[in-house]
Amino acid sequence: MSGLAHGAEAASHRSRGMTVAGYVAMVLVLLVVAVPLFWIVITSLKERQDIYVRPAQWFPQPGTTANYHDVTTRIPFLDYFRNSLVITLVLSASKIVLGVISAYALSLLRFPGRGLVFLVVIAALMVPNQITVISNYALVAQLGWRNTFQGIIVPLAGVAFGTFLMRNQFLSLPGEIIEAARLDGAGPLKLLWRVVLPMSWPTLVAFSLITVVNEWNEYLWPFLMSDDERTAPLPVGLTLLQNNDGVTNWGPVMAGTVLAMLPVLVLFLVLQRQMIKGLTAGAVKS
Amino acid sequence: MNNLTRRGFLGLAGAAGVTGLSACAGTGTSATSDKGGSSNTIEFWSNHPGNSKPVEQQIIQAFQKENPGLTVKLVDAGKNYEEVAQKLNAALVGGQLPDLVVVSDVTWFNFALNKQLAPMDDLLSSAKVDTSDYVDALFNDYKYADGHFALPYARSTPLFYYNKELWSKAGLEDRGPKDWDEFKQWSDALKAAVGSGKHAMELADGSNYLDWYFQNMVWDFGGAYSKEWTPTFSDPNTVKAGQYLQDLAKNGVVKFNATPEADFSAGLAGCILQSTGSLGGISKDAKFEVGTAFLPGTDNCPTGGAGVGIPAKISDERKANAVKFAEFLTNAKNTVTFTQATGYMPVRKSAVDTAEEKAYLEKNPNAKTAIDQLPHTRSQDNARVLLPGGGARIGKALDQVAQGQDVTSVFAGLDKESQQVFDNQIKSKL
Amino acid sequence: MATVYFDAATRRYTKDGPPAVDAVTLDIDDGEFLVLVGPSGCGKSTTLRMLAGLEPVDDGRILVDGHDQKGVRPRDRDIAMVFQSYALYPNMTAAQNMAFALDNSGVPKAETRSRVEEAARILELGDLLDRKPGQLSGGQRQRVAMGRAIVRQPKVFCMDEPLSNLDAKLRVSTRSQIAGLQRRLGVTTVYVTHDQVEAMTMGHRVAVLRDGRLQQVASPEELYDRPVNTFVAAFIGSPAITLVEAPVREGRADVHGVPVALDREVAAGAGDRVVVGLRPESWRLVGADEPDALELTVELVEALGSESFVYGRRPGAGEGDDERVTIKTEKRAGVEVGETVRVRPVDGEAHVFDAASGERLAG
Repeated sequence: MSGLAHGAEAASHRSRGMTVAGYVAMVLVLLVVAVPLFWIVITSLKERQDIYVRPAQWFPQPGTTANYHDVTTRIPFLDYFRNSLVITLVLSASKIVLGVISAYALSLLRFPGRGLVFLVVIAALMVPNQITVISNYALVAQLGWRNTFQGIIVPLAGVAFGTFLMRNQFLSLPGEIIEAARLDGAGPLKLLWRVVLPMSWPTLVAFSLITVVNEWNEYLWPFLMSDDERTAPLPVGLTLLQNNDGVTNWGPVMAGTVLAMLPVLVLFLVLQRQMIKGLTAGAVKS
Repeated sequence: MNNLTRRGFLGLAGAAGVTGLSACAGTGTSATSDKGGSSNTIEFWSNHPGNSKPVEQQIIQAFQKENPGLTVKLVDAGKNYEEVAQKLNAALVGGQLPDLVVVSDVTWFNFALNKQLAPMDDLLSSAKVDTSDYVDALFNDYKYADGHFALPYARSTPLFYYNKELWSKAGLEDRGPKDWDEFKQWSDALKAAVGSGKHAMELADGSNYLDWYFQNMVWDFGGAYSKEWTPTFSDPNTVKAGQYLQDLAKNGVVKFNATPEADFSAGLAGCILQSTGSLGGISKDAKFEVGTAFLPGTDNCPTGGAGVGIPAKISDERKANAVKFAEFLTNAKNTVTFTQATGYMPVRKSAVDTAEEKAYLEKNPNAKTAIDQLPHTRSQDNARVLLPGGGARIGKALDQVAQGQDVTSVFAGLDKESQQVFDNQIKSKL
Repeated sequence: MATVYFDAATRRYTKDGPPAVDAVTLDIDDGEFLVLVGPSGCGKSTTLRMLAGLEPVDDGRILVDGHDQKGVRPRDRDIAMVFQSYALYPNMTAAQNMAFALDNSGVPKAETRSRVEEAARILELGDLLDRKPGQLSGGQRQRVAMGRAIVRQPKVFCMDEPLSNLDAKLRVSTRSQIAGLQRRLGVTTVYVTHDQVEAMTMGHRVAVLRDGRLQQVASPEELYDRPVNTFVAAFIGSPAITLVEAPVREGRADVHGVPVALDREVAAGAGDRVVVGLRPESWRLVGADEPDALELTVELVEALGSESFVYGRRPGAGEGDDERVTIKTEKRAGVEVGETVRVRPVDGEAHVFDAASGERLAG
């Protein structure tokens, strides 16, 4: 009896220790993630002379929004922003659609050569982006697509990663539900839209989020393809704020970074709720 | 929707497969010569050194006014010289070359060696450009074999920046050190004056062009990175310079850092070696009076920065237009406009005689230091600027020296590596 | 509503291995409730899935209403299936789950609604129609799965162990509900189970499968009374039949020294040895004075209230289950574990099988 009580006490003690450790870890992670972000925001609100001082200023004194004004006037910020939106939206949409339907074909439809197609897709995943840059450049230049949206978008629309991710997700779904839907007379598209996708919602949202963030931050290819603010996205445009031979004024750079971060942040907050909703919906399948 | 057949889906899956494939497909025909490109549009690829995009646009407008038949298209070609080189490399393989491109002191030679940049001399003479007005040291930086492969554009030299308040606190004369020996004598006083947690001097680390600033130190001690193509890192004088650098670090006089100009402006470093290009920024950021001086030593200031070159494979007509614009970009009037906006050095001898420049220098004595130093510059050693990867290689070795590794063996390693690179990549092409 | 005919239907998963379903021939009447039963791995689920079109038929044919189903897609077969895991769509409400098939086949909205409501009324799901599967209990999910099959008014119901995920009590009540529902709707039903009690209580006829081969198809009574071989005899009936291998002498089988008279017909067909099967109710306890009785040491007594089962073993017999004799007695057995009892087979109730092949000997 006393032994039992002792054991229980030890267990609760241990769990309290774990709780404390959990909180410590959480705070540490928060600091690691949040401090640089906080520093970016704070720096974007500082006057130039206050950026490099010791001791460091944790709050801008005096604060200024001049950096934001600077970003929107010194470079055609709105043009870059529009380009980023166009490129990210079109690219993400096509990547998600292509990824989902190709994964669907490779996991749930039977056709000859399925294994081979999947192998080719996986092989494409193994080739690093940087390797294909030159050949893609040649192709796009021949088509006369340099400094155009399609020149930036089409070569990036290959979706080996999405195909791979979504295929594995689809394969993990309980086979009986798919069979039930087939018996219930669902055609391929209905099966995908009404049965398979709703059950794969969390993975799809995660994939979409990764895709959007990746495309939003895509640098190398748009940099090579674009010549000016007619097609260049934000990551390329923001580099104009940096002085590449001399002293960079970090205030506007940080302000630009903050502005570039915002849309993705908002999207994440919106989709995050969807992800949680999707997770509970997925938990009931058996 | 319901009636979509399996065959239809096969098509879709096929489409997906093709998209995947397109990632690896299509080198196309190699662009041996670039016939495309409009002959009256001059495409100028620039990374806008020193935030110079507005000035570049201003100069372009002036050019178009003078030459109504020609338009210049300014292209954002990267955030630094390496990215411009990368973009040019892609175009050299993939096609659609620019007419004029910014090349740095480190990147131009490789393009010239592989005959990807056109020699300028004939183009310049047929355009009747008087090359003797270019500052000799700057123009000859682009000389290889018998030709010049670029025109100097955004050129800089290092300067000795010092904190005047600290100087008077340490009881030093208001000037830079005559040579590195004198700096050593000053270092104790500086250390005492600057206080704890701060440093008498800060230098950029090996990833941030310490190899450029150290060139001056090596020359001051009578050493060099190389003589022509022969590496001379093991020369006793070169080693002595390395030892000197190491001692400064050991004694806590110098701290190495990615952005010494920032610490200097914040009052955390007593003096720095930095590009003339930083002059504008530092003057704006610093809350104390900034002094500038020649680099220590005599006639041993390296040059740096970038020029503009013309790709070899564009049509002669395009080349002729390009050289016309290149000359305009770097003529006396425009080099003054450009350098006053950015802090770079005027590349024309006649520039300093213009009224505008005289007035400007009157008002900005620190800028005058840089101009005055110009006749005392010296073209850099091949081992840094012409050997592929030279700057990065020396920078890495200097980081090791700064961390206390044995100077003689590190420099011996440099000798060997540099020789190998030369033998493998350069020798056969010379 | 339809007839189903399996014509030597065969399924091979591997080219060289033994078939999972081996030339099963089976004729199912319109409106019949047929139960496929057998131990796990016997091929009963595969047989069902072949009918639904989820598995190909490698050899032979399956006819529904006389039409060969080869090449007919599952969705075009008009067969509804209830899965062991129910396989409900987690993102749809109970009503949407049931209506899904009707939506797909273009049934008008109003009719769909009335059919779903009717099914919900039959299955007492009225209050649950707006809930998603995650908010339903196991029994409720099972009923939604049934409802999904019912609303389609298909030619054939296929049910794959639909009760195995329910607790024992719910299983018994649902058993009779499904059987009753099937009688009412009159839809031809093929029902797969490994539980012989379900098989015996639900089906019009029961088909026993072993290793992909059909052993016997018959009504539950026939299956119990006239099993065609020792496998069926042992599989059907709980507690199991006692099988004893016995030598034949002078028209009698010698069951551990107790003579069991054989029919003349049977005796004529029997060789030297037979297997005698005696169900628990075919034994009776006898007093010490009766001759030709078997002495047993009691190992276990199961008193179920209305009846009791006594498990005994001959002195000196081995440890195996097959050496154990099971006897059914009335309410109170009046025997204790460790006691010695004497038992005799009831005349004329012995099942006699060929010792070598295990086949029933005529009679």
